[in-house]
Amino acid sequence: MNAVGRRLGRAALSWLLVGGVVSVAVHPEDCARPSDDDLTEAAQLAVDWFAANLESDGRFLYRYDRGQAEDLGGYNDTRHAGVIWSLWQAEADGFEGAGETAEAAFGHVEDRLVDTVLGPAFGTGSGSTGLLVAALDERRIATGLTDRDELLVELGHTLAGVVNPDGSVSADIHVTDGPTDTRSPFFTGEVMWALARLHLSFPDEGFDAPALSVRRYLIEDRDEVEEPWPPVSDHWGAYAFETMDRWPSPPEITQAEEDWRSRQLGLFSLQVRYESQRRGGITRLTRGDIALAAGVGTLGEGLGNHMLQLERNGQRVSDQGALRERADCAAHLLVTRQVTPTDAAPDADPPRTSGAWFRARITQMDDQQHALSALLLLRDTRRGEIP
Amino acid sequence: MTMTLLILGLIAAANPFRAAAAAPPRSEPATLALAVGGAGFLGVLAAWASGPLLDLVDVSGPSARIAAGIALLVVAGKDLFFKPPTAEPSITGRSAGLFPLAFPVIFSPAFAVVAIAGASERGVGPTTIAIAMSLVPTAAALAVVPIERTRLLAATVGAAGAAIAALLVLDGVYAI
Repeated sequence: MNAVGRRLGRAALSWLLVGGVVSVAVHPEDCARPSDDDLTEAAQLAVDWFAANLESDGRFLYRYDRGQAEDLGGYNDTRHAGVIWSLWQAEADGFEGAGETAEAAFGHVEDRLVDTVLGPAFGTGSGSTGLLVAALDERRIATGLTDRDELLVELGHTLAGVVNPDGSVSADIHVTDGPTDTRSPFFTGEVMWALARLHLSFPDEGFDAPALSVRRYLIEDRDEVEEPWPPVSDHWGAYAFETMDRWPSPPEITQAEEDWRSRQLGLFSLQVRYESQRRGGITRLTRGDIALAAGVGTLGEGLGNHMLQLERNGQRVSDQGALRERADCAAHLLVTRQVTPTDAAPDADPPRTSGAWFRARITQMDDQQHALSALLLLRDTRRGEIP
Repeated sequence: MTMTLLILGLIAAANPFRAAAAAPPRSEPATLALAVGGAGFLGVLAAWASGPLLDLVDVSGPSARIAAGIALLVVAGKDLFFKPPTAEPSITGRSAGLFPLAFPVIFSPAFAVVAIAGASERGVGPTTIAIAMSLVPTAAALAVVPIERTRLLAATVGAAGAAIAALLVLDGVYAI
């Protein structure tokens, strides 16, 4: 080979080297747009999983090892309330069996309602109480029933009581001493969302003031005071903002809120892109194992809520195509990773696995909950069903 | 990715002083025009192929920007720490403008990936304009910069290129 040929060879080698470095940093993304039927079918399978895994005391199978066919036990009231909310969300969308399962799961709530100095609470967490409020409010929307309105409003006043003067939210409620000096990265958004919903359903009860107080804290102070690391991609906050946007007199978006929303959209999108690069094989070495379905679901929920609000108000039009791509990608990841009845057939106990999402052979009920809510929300955004 | 970042990224990827170092002594203007024109043509080709190419490899626009930043970081690091390329060996005559000047010196892998990422974000037309603008400093350096001054200047552009690469990566990371 002559000198020019050798130089050409070195050039080719340097291109390969750069290509190799780039391919370690950036992988192909497993993204596609699932059909509406795919979303509906996956959501129905998740509803069916809850129906099949409801126990006689109103609780669900919490954690399950597919490999060992073993119930791993444990329970969490916040997640229980979240499941009831998702099921009423599915009922409102016409999914078969969702309402009956949600109603049966209320049995566990009745067992765990606690009288505190602030009023009734579900367990001793503000988050579980907040999501119970969302669940009961969704039931009200799905069925038109008002028989639990009194409890709903009382729970709302309990939540107003956990909002501190600076807008922060106490994570726990002591039965006799009231709110404790505890914080949670998720309860703040959950409580804000619950209060925001209550203001829509009960506009004369004064739930807007504490909701707005939490909103100000979440935007202006939370990161500085609570120093969450890594930064929180706050799907519950997204629910709250979307709900407040439907208030009769919605608060104007401030510049600080717009900045927060931009950061949130970036975080959700980055995580979807990263997760979609986890395609098994060699990507296990560079990207690790797939995320929990609960985590992927929250990405869809966050994106879905922000998309609803942006589309409703005709904001960030130039970003909406990219947001749709990320949302479709999150939905695709959920649809393709779900255990179908066919996949579950060889399992030792197919009702435990069919319709569920597993990571490292383990599922937890919030995997199904967040995935279900994300699928329903993304299905709604796709249909242009802007409330 | 702003137009400014795109143009800066392309300039750093082409590194005018790396190009000047590899220019044959006493090159005819036609040789230099062939170098700049050839690299520009390849850049536009990469921009034009951006959509189908990214679809083929399943890479989103933001991830392409991260890829552009990484590629630029590698190329800028080479400019910063290693001697610039020399004029020889090359094809004889005016064709030396095509090899090695247009390719691989000016149209580096970073130039290709930045053009691809730029086109996916801003479109082929604006990226073509950015490519044309980014090659102006290269054309000027080829015409006027003496070879003996190129090493330090190429390293300086390499250092700036590393910073621009970081901006490209951040742009991709924080994008929707």
